[in-house]
Amino acid sequence: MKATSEQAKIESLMRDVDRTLLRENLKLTPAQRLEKFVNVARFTSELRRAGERMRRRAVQTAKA
Amino acid sequence: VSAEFQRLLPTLVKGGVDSILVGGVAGIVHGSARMTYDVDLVYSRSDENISRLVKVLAPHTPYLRDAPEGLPFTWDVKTIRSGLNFTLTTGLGDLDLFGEVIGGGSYDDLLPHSLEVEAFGVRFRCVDLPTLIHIKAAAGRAKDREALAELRVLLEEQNKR
Repeated sequence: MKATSEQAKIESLMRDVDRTLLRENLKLTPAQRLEKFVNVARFTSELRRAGERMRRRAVQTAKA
Repeated sequence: VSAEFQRLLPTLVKGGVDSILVGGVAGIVHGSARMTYDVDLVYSRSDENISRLVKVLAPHTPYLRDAPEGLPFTWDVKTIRSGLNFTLTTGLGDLDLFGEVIGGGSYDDLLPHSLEVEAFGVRFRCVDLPTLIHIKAAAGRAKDREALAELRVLLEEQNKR
């Protein structure tokens, strides 16, 4: 019963998966998929650092 | 994910470490569009492999992730032999090392269910998509439901090709 309920939850989530992203990824080789991942990871890391700098500046401005 | 991530797999491969990529990065190899922040590997528990693993990662200062400051942790053969699964932070990024995974078993169990992948100038082994799905489902974690749904859609899409 529990497994069936879990299965139903997964199947429901499958309807919301963006297949266009997956189809684009499937056009790439595994190595190209990993390169894309590294590029996205670099991009998000840079944004995270920018966010940290912004928060630090906001704290400094508030103290001044 | 550390900017050094792309050095992690080549470092292990060049050091002769027998391991199989599982988890989110394995999903990416198969076409997943989900972001992940650590690398999950099932490593061989043979004495020789543990020695190689310790030697290769030692210069990258592995430490238990989110461990209380000052907790004694020595990265050596004895520590790895005494434990099984390790969630680590390293100079090459966050790394989860599994001696065994639920639904997949050990390195030797997973080997027939893995594929050779070439990337970052090296060849390494990655768990196949049906087994990755099986492992995720066996873990039974609520947080994995969306990832599991995506992997199942990926399998459907791959089967259509």
